[in-house]
Amino acid sequence: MQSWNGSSSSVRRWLGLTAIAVIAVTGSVGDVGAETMEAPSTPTSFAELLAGFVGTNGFEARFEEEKYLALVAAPLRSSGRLYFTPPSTMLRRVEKPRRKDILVARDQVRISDDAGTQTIDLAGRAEVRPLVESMIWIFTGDLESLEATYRVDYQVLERVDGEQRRWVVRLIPLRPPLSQLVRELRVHGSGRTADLLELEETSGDRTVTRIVDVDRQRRSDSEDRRDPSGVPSP
Amino acid sequence: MIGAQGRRLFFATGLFAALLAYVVFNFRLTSDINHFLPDSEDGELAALSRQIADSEVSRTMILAIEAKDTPTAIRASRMFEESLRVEPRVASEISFLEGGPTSGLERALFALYDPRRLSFLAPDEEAARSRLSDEGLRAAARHLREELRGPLSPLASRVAPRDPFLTIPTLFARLEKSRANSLDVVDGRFVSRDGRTAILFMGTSASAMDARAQAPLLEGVSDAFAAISEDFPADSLRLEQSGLNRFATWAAEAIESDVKRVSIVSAALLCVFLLFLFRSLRFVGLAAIPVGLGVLAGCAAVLAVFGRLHGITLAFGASLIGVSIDYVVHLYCHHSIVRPSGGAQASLRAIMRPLATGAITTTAGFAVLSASALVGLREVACFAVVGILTAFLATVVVLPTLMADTGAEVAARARLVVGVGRGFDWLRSHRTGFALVPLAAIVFVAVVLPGARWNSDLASLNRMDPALVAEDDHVREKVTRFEQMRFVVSIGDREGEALDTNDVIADRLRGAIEADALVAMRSVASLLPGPRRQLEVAMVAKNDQSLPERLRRIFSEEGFSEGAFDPFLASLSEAPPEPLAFDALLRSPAGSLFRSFRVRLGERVGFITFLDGVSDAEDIETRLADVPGAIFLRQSDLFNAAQLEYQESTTELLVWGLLGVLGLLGLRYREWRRTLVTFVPSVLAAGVTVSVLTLAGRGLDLISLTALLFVVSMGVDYSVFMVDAYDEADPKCVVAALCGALLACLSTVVAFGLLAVSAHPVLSNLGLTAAVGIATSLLLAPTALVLVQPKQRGRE
Repeated sequence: MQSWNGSSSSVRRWLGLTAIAVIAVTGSVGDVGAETMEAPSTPTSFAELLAGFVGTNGFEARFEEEKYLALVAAPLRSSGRLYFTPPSTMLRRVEKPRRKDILVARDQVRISDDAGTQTIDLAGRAEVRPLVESMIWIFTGDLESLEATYRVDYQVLERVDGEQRRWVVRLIPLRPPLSQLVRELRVHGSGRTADLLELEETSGDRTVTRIVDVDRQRRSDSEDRRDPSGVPSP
Repeated sequence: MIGAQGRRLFFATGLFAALLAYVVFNFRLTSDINHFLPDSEDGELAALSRQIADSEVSRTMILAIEAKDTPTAIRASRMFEESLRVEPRVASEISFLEGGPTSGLERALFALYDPRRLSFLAPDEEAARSRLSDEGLRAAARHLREELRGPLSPLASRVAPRDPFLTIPTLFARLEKSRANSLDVVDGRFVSRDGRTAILFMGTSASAMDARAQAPLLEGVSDAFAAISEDFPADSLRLEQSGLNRFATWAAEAIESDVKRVSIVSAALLCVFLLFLFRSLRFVGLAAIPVGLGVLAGCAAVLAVFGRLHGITLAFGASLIGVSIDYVVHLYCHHSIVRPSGGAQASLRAIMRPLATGAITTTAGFAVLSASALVGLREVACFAVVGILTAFLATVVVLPTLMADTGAEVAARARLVVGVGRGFDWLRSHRTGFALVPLAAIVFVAVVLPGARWNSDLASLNRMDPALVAEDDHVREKVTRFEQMRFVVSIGDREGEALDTNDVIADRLRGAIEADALVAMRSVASLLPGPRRQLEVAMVAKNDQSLPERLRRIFSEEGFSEGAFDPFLASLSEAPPEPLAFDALLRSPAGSLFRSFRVRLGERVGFITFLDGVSDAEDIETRLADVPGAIFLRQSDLFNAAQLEYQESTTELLVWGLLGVLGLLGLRYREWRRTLVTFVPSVLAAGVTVSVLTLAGRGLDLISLTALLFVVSMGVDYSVFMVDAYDEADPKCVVAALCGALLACLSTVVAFGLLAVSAHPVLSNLGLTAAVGIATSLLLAPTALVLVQPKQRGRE
């Protein structure tokens, strides 16, 4: 039989994993939100970058993702589309290799595929909620809240071959349970466009998400984005 | 005489005070209609049904707050919960109050399930073997790979080394589904699918049937809601409630209101009648003695024997005022109209025989009801027998000594006497024509009575305020789609035994779903299999010697790293933990999700499986027939079938009661003509009553049958008085008996007429039946007397 310590360790680990799962979903909100706020110059500070995220009107983009996991011998790849509707509704639609929708809305995460729908209420998971909120903080430019949760390291990188200068934001959790699970969240971009998200777990597993083909003209009322579970579509 | 008067008055007052004190200190009123609903012939089923009806399931209220949008509903839900917790009338009665899942639910459940994940690998042994076959392992590997590719991959990747089948995440998904079927959880609060209604579940520590505890609680709920509504725009929030306690409280309030109405109006009318005809406050005051003692003695007897008084019995008792006053009225009428030279005692002696005959026949008629298996009818019998005998004894023992020997002449009474006398003479002179009255009654009964029907619909007795029912239905539709009156119960002496049976039930019901006999079920089996099955499933994995090699090979072929699942394989050799128990789940933050499944059945325990869309009940019955401890409980069918049986057996009792009354009358008169004259009119009145009910579209039920007994007993009293008076030498005696019967009938019909307009269906049935029957009895009694004209003994 498993010892109590073992059990409570498992509990913490499980809770943390749930948290990571959510950030994997919502993490893209900030990225794509950044994409919508395209600006001619590179922000000189994180505060300046965040300021550009405020007031987005929604967008659609494509994503390509690679997961480097200890469990599998080769990286797992998937791709699909992201849709965002202010103030905090996002649909991540995986198209390959199999269709799956992940909707964040009304304090819930709903995951739908051929097998059915799974709903995760964020309020019932106090440990998870700050993670979801941290993405909203990014989106709304809430630097104070972000700095209360993460150590933020914003760097503007050297220009390469005459291209626009790139930047990277490193968000390092300050305290458990997040710090036990996530080693670092890195958001890469140029100008006021975020185009790469890296999530590095304490286990060594790593997820790299590239954001491409951002379309800020697409609004959230397209019929094909209707949430299959019945929640209002983003 | 003064001394005797004083002693008797002192005795009556002392008895009144003693009975009043006993009733006040022991008073416990219930409105549980189950007391008037029949037990099934299967005692176990009936007991089970009653225990479930009194279980925590019945003590749970659903409170639904509808708002313009989700955030408003959620905010109101939180405020309402806080308000309820500080409202003294509610807080003291709350056993649980949940507006959302308890914080830390997943943490607690993970701690319970994770060590036992092997036991939850599959629903049964066969499924476990299939899951651990090569095909099963390959499917599990592909599923895991798909999950790792998805957004929950961090979860899956951490859990998978110890749980490559993702048993725990699957269980959690199942738990989410079972939460309430129709509820979402938004921001930690239960919200119905319309997105505008927040739901709270509140359990009460008092029984739903305990109107005394529930009434203030319901008031507290309303006040708590009114308090929070002030923080929102006017009319922006709407509270709807569902709960058995609301129906019970409504029924109790309806009954109490009826009792008050009947008591006050009957008493007031009697006072007016007595004052109008006798112009004596003393008579009015004295009349209260047998009436008060009769009602109090009836109450005290029921409280002593049954421990509580049903509202219906109390209402019946209030109507008994109309019966017990009859003895007084007859005494007063004889005393005032015949005016015997020996005073009140002489009046009593003159009418003692009919008075005693009436009391004994009425008592005998009701006494047979004490043989009924229905506790409600036994209560009525107890009340009636003790109440009527006490009223009779009080009339005989106390009243004559306290009455004035001579009363003043009253013009109104004189006019009544003249009118009644002329009417009776007119009847006698038109005998032939009046033969048509009973003949018409016989024809009416012969034509209509064959169309009479038994009312087998349980709902007719349980019918409640339509607005309350609609609100209850509306709330329940938002929360659950499962049936309230049909479910399956697994029963065991021990919890594990009941859970093991519950697993078999779940298997069989899955078959019923596949056969389209059932749409869906809600069972605890998927989240908590019995200890036997938990062990069986775990042992399939532990005993499979080839599993480690096959799992490594197949998962490797599907792209997984070498040694990735060594923690799982190591766990196969660990000692199995104790099976997960229901109490552990109940004590966890997930307790609210599981609470409704278990019922305590005395020393035994049961688990309920809720059903949705039963299209073929017989199929389900057949599937469960050979499962020991499994019961498909169809409460409505059970009650309706049993009610029909009880109607028949109660009819038999009534027939015996009638025969008893007939026998007593035969003994009393020892002459067939008088016996028939006193008996037939009331039986015919009962036939007319049933026919009237039939024409009114009402079926016969147990309450109607009981009221018919009442009709016959009362009708016999009228006839007895008339026949006995007819035998007296003084023609005034007949007039006095007729006047007495008229007044007695009026008072009784008024009392039951008031009950007939009751909102409570049982009281309404009782009132209508008795009012129609007694009025008909009075009409038929003198007619029969005139038609048959027994030879007058007193004038021989």
